[in-house]
Amino acid sequence: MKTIPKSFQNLISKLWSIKMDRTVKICIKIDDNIIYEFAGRVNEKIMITSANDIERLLIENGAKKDKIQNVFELFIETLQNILNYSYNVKQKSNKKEVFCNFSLLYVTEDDTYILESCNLIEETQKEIIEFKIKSLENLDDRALRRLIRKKSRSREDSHDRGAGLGYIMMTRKSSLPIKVRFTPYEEGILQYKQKLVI
Amino acid sequence: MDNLLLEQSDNSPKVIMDRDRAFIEFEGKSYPENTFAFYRPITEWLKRYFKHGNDENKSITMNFKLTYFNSATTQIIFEILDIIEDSEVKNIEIYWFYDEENSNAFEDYEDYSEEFPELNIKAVVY
Repeated sequence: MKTIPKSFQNLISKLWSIKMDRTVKICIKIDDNIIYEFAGRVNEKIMITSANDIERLLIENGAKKDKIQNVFELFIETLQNILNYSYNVKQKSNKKEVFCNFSLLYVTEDDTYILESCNLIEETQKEIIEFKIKSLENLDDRALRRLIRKKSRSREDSHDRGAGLGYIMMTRKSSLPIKVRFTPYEEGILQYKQKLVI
Repeated sequence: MDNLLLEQSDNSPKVIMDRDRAFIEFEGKSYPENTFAFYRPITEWLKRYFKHGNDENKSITMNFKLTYFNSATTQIIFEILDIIEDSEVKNIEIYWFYDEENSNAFEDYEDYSEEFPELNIKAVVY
């Protein structure tokens, strides 16, 4: 499996370490792997631009329509989670904005896409996220679909920020279990890394 | 009550809610930043329409032509179908348009049609 070039990894980590006060968007093709990288402030406009770029890259890469839909929708779920639940979200003209980074890598051998993201969250979120992922890990596709239907109709986890269905959708549309990592950032704040294989 | 028409944007669908023609349609991508706020006037319009808006008892057509949508939109579609199911209106045809090369789109149709069997939602290749 080919990985993101070291130079880009270094660039991303450097930007993160200086709290990402600049925006960098890189869209490149290396061998037959398509790589999409973003680090910086993300808001609705940037999310739309990135989603459209990713859709175009996947079409150019010959991806099947259901794969394109899965990648597109998981990208949106990931970014909307970041905008809704990150630590220190800024509101500008009623629009949310927050620092994060994300990347999309294509693995030719498996015909899979890997969507990785990183943002800051409050420590209290850790237990909630772990519980959600754990409660979904043994459910098959049919059970996940039933759960989506049940929660959509009951609206039991619904609130202003979303339907509470994000992790169910991510689990359902990923080909492997969701991988997450929490790293201490500063007191009460964690760096949250998430990896989806689609 | 007035018609409600919304232009399509990069992340929100074109919405046609035409009382005069008894025609309702959602077309495009649906992942507005605040999905519930975006759809609130739409669900309010539908509640009024299905309660006493369709005075002439016309046959209503509702089309879903959504390509990509977020999980909040999934819930909104359930809410819309709930509004219809809970109403007295029986003369409505609901069509779910899907791309036959995209298996996900048909699975979405299956979920909605199984959950609302009385609405007899029909799948249409787009």
